[in-house]
Amino acid sequence: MSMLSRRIFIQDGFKVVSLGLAMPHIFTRAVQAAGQEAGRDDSAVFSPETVSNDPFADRTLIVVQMAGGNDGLNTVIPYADGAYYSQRKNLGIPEAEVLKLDDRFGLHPAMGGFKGLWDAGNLAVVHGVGYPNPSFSHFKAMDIWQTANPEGRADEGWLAKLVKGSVDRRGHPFAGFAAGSTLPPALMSPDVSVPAVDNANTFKLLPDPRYAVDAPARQKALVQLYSGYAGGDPFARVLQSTQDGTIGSIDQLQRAHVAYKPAVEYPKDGFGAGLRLLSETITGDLGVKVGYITIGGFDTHSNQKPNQARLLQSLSDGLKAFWDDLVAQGKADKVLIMSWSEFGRRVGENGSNGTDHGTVVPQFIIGNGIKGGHWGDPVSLTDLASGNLKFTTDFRSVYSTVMDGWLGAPAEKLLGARYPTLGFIGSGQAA
Amino acid sequence: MERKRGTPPIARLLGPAGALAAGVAALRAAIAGAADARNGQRPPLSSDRDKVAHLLRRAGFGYSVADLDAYTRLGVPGAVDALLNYEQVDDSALEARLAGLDLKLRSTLDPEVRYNLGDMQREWLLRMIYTRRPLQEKMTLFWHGLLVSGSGKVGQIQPKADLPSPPNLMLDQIAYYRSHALDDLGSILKAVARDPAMVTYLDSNTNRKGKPNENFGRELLELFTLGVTGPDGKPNYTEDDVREVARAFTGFGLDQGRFVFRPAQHDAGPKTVFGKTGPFGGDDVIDLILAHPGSAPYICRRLFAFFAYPDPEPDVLTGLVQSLRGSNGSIRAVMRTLLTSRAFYSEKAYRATAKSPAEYVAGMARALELQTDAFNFQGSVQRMSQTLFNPPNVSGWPGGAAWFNSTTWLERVNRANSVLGIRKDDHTQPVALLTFVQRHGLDTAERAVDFFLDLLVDGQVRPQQRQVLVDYVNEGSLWKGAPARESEPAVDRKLRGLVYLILASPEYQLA
Repeated sequence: MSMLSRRIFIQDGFKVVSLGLAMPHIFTRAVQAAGQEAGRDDSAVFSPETVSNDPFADRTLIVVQMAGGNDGLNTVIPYADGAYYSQRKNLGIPEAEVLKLDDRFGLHPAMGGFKGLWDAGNLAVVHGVGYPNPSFSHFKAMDIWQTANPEGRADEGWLAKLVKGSVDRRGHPFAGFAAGSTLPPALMSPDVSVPAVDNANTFKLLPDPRYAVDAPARQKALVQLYSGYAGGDPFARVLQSTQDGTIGSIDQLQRAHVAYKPAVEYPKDGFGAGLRLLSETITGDLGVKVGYITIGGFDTHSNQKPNQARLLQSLSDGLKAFWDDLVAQGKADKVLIMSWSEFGRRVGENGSNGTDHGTVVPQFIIGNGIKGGHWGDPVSLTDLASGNLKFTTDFRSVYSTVMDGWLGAPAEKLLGARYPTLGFIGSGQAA
Repeated sequence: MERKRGTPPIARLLGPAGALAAGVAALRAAIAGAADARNGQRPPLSSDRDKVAHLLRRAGFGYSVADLDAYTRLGVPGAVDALLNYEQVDDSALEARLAGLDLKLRSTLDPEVRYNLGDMQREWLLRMIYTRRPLQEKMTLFWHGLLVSGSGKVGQIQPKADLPSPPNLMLDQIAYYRSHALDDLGSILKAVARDPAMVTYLDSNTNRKGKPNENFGRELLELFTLGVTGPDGKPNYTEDDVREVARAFTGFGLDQGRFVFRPAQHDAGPKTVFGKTGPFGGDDVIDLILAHPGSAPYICRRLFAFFAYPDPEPDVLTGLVQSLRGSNGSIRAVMRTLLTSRAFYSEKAYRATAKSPAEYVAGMARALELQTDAFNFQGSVQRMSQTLFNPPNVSGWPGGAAWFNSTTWLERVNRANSVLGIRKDDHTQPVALLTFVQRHGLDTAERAVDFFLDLLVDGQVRPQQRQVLVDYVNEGSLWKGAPARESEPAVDRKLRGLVYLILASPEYQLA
């Protein structure tokens, strides 16, 4: 969009765009959404039939980022492979402690919650996930995963592309939602503002404590200052869509927040609080298509054992509580959870009771409509590249499966290439 | 007390007509340029005053009217000199202010005396607000975002009998950046490799011969000095280089929170780094990095992106690199070139960076001449996504547009609201907006709007936006359109709304 085309003028207090089709999506969609909220009535562009006939219409994808590079070998443990114990003399998890899934693999002992999901058929493990020419830089690797681009270069994140139009035909301001005070690059786009919320209680525009009666006049002027702003990129679109998207979403989030009653007790850590917030948005029917949450600290160069155990406990307990809550609220059929991490770690341990940056990492998929079990080929612990695992499953295959199978989005178009889908959604057969 | 009929309180505040007229004349002169801008006549950064305002936002944390006046009198080159030669500026008032507060920055054997992150953050924010050496403080923030360590991993050293007052590692690291902010790059890097917070944060203390730990070596190359690739996309180093650099730093460790080198844990064997082979130690590797063709452009790009705008043009970058190389790596020399460059004052540079949360809060406090001990400010800065002393990860804060999302935007505007709304508080005095009225003769709505637009955003807004503010001030039954005919509380609350709106505006989010 050119600078000129984004100019918005004020007439009678309303935003008017100088060139009709140039209005940033978020503005038009917020207007539509406001109308829909009132009476659940899709007038204008989308007829009610279109929406109700869409089997993907009310589905949600929750993406869980395990930041720092999770040690996959100590998460889904190949306990029957002698090579694992010879490479992991200090850090290897003894077979007796492993939560066995079958005769080859078991979960880290802190992941009792995940074991329950596995036993119920709600957990799929995708093995050997990576991509060619892996980056060992946290930041390059994260960029690659978040843009689904092998160079890590793109104007917007892969999830933002989904939110922007492919899966949100109703144009809802909550199509994307990030729990936390930072918006992940995967949900960044110059064209759409995804709310990032860390605390619903403070997600409000506060009035002057000594002049509360002035609040409407002040808010009106504030909105006009933003719509009348004529700055250039990269900030103009971001600031305008942030202001507009935020003010347009406060009331809805507050309503959902007040109405929400969790059916379970969430763990009392930041991850648990974020999952609770995601549950509020889902049970409150805010129309979230893609929810996002991050759990950080997996960069275990030193003292890995207690640190990773604490994180995996938090991950597993939190997601189990979230899942149980969704089941109790009658929403589980409509939610799919996918984890990712920018890389796994070196097969051999270092001298600090830790592991350095590696390559391959398993991904978890949790859902009701999925086929639980193992997907993708397990990696070899002996056929290594400079001490690192060789990938067997391209992460874009996992993305494609979720896009196509869960959200009904055109994966090939969005990823720019066709990647074979895995069978955890649809008619495939688990390995 | 008897009040003369027909003379409301605000008129007495404004004083005799003569003084008011003089104030108005001065104000009119001051805002003449702003009026031109509103007619589209004045491009940004076209006057010395505009340039100095820009300089003080970038090379500092903003300004009060008095600051801007004083630096403008020096002229642009004089202002740059004053900022760069900060050792000559007396900052004892700041130190006295800090000493007068009971901030817990050190731990002792007394279990009641434990330092805490909130007080460390408050102390730093107070420095940003009240220092008379703003470039020194801005450079400190730059280094914190480049050569990153974080309190989350560094943790605290508990006092014990043989270590009754242990060092506060993160506070000491930042203090090092402050006292060596403009030194030469090589000495800063060599000091950082030994810095106890860094040695902890990137695991050098367990990087031993035969069992190297790559954490520091990798980030030293990737984030601190070279980058994975140069601008041409070619790799600056290989994975083998990372492993060899890690070997060179084996033996770096800590004892009671102090750096020690342990020869027995050092791998003295030959290493090959960037194609050169030798029995390199850590300092040798830093020398090899400094000789690497990618290191000077990397630091210069990082400085330019932080102070001016991302991606300097090749000739701009070349000028900076020549300054660095021609001065044995002096950061002061690079900063002089940068702050006097044409590019720094170009239209492209204007509002080309986003204010970080610390800049937003400190700048607001400076402009409003706030008297505060910064109590609770640190939590607000944190909710805006900037936890001082604990960046999100080793690459620091991404900055730019990433500062803005719904939560951080709300926290910004709500913080502006709460600062302006303070009435009576043990920590912060109410913003004295009525003294601005008195000092600057703000006797009409238009004058008040123009004055605060000029102070906060160089008067550089569109006519429609200015009109929004004028209409806002004129609206409402409690306000009759002219401060001179209003009661003090009525003027004060409308001015609070006006200043809030400007602090919340898109223009004010940018530096």
